[in-house]
Amino acid sequence: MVVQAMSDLRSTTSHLRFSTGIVRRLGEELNPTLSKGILELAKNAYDADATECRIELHDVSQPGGKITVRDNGDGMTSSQITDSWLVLGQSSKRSAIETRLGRIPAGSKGLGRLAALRMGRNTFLTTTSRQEKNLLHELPIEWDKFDNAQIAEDVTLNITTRLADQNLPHGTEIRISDLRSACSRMEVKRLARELVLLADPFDDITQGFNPVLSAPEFEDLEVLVQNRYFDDAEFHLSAEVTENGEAFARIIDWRGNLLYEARHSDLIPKGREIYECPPAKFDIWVFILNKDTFSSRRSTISEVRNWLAEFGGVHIYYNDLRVNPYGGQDNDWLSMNLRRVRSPEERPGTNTSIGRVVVHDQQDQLREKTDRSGFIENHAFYDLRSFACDSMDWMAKCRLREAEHRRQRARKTVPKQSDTAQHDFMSTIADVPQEMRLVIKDAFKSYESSRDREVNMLQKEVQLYRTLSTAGITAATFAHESNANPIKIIRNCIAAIERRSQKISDELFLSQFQKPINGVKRSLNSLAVLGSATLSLLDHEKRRNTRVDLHAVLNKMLEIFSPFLRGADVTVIKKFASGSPFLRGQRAAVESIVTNLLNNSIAAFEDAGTHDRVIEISSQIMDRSWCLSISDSGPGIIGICKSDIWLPGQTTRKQGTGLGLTIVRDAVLDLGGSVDAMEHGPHGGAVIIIHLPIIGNERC
Amino acid sequence: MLTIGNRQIERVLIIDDDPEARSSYEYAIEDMGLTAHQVRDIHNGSELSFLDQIQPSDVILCDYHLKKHAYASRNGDWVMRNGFQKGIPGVLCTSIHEAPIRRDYLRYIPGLLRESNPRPDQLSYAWEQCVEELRGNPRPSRRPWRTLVCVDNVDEERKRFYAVVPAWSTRVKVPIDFDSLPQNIRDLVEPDQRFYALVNTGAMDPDNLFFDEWEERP
Repeated sequence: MVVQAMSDLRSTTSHLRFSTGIVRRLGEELNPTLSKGILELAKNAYDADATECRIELHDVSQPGGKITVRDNGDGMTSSQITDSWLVLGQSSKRSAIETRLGRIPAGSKGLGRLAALRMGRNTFLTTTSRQEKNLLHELPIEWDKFDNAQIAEDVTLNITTRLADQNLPHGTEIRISDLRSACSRMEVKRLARELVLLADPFDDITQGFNPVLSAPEFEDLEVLVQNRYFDDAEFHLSAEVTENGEAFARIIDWRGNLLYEARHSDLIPKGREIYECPPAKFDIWVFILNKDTFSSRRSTISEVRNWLAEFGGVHIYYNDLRVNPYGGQDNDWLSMNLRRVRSPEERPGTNTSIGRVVVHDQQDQLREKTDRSGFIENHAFYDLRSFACDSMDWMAKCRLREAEHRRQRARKTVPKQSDTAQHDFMSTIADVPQEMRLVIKDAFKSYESSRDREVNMLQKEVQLYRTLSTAGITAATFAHESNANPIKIIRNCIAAIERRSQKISDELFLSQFQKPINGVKRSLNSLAVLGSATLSLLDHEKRRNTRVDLHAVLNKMLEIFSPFLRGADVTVIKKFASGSPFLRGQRAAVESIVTNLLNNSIAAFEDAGTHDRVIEISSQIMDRSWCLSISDSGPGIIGICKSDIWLPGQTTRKQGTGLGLTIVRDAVLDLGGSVDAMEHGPHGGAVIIIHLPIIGNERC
Repeated sequence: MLTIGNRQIERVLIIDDDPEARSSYEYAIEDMGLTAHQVRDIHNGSELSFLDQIQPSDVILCDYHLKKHAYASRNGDWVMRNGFQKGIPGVLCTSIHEAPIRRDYLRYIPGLLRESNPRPDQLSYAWEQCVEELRGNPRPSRRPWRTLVCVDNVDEERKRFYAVVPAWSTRVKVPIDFDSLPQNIRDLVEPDQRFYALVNTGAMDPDNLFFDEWEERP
């Protein structure tokens, strides 16, 4: 290769330049809504140490309207406008540098401002600096000029400075006119809510920053937010994580009494040492919205409910200003509602509580996303969330313990209360005339005796459920044990005997061993069903609400029961409708229905000594309903009224619990269906008919 | 002696916490012409120290439950994972009602039999799969692919979450225990969160899906 000598002919300097399209896109993409844009300008006022920030909306229900944002902050000099305000992507604000009033600036890149200003076709800035009170600077921006230019620098912006005769009030006014889009009433309400919440209105110490929106929506909300129903909260959880990552918490009741206290080790999950997040304080007020609780409160339930509906949830105040969307109306960043669904007794939801996490982050551990849609989900943010969630978990445990104590106390005190009531009654009727007294006493005795019978029956029922639960737990334990080792060992051994005897001589195997080996295998299969059927019912997954394919469940249950059914000489006839009907519910509920009905039929055959044992299982699909019919060749419903078969404890069998069909009925009702029965059906025995609403039917 | 792939198999180490069960496995192994060796106690000392004495001609037959007796402090899936990483073919036997195998360990258990009474031919086939995978030839249902995993919902009480793997099925929600996740991923799990992981998207049954090498979505 030949390398030729080259010399420089000339040197040209160049710059990276930006198309005006970038300005447009930043405007459209960073602040998609008007409320978001205005909030940015309000934050700018906060950064300028304003105490007041007034926002006026004119004719915004149509495109072409106008917005004015006026503050009494420090204002800007001409050079500050040029070197800072007009420079995109750069901001003089740094978290570590506090403002004159000791505020930590909320702005970070200056991009939010650009996006906000571009909401209209024209922007007009008027500002007077605190340092030069006799100078007024004005800057008009016509955004259409940018749309027509190739690069941003092609558009010249003129700052006009006027000299006033007297000192002018310092501050900045921004007028955005000829708005590109309309602003709906919902949007105005959203803006009002966000402005009301911007500077932590719940704190006793005001931040000295009052954004005001001149709109009726704002005034209503401002009145509402000032109501502050914190004293009516049942519990107040107050937790704090310190600079060294250690947390502590306390719960006080509505009277201000300390109920519980937690140390760091009580809060942080095992295996973790500290929370790696900026120091923060978490407060949540939990309300119990029922009549009993509110009978002794100052306010009414509906007042508190309205207040919570508007402001409920856990808000984040980051360096004194609220960060969207946390605590917003559709935002449940701590998954409170999901946790409440699982344990409603001990958990607050976003509609029954209000809270805030106050973070002072001098080290910039948390960072807001450029489009202001919350924090970048980094390690510090996740740990902050863990701290809040762990604190609420601890509160739930405390409340669970308290609920358990309450139940224990009630068990002891209710009989005493009953005795006292009886004594009071007797004292009261002592004042009644003699003949009336005897009549009342007789009537009361009769009432007492029927009540005692009812209590007695309920106690028996409770005891029966407890006994059955214990039997179930024991059966599950034995099922696990027997399924695990003994059956496994017998199977391995019998398989070895089979293999080895075959190896010695096929003839010998067939004549001497095959029959007894098969007998052992069959019995083992029947034995194994006991375990697998029990364990199968216990599977936790089956108690989740999910799609349940009804025919698949039926087939699976029949497969599990097949050794039992074979052992009891039962022939099963299946007549299923075509397709796979499905519903949303718990698979365990459907299995309970099928299991209990199969058990019932098998027991009926056994009791009656039925010779030809048939169970017919048929299904039909009618509109949005699945109809299951299980009929058998047993004796039918005899010795008991048809309507009584569903009642708990009602049975004609000596060893029966009388709960099988009650469970069937309850499970069907839980699934939104209905049950019916016929004393005698096509095979002579009972027929149980079940209708369940379905979501659909998938064709095979 | 049994020849599987490039290996000559002579001895089978039987790992089960019940001595009777260990003995009952011996019959199938002897019928294959192999020597059965019962691993009597892996609880004392280092649990995996027995792996250090293993010969190239050894394979493992392991039961899932090892903690009922004072035998081991971990389940069989952990033993199998470690054995595989040391290049030892093994078969893990578990019945369908056993606790689910950890999804991250499952990647290293090609010889999985959902059968507590394995026949000689089943054992032989499972070891063969294992040897092939050790040689870098997983069967299609076991081949790992880097794919998107979306968190559908989280069950805090049971310390697990349900994931959808769009490349495998958009309908089936696969339960994944927090235990099987690295700490950095566990901290991020919440509904709608997305990750990347190595998943055998060729598997037919959701119970056979493994998830390993999790990554936060860039």
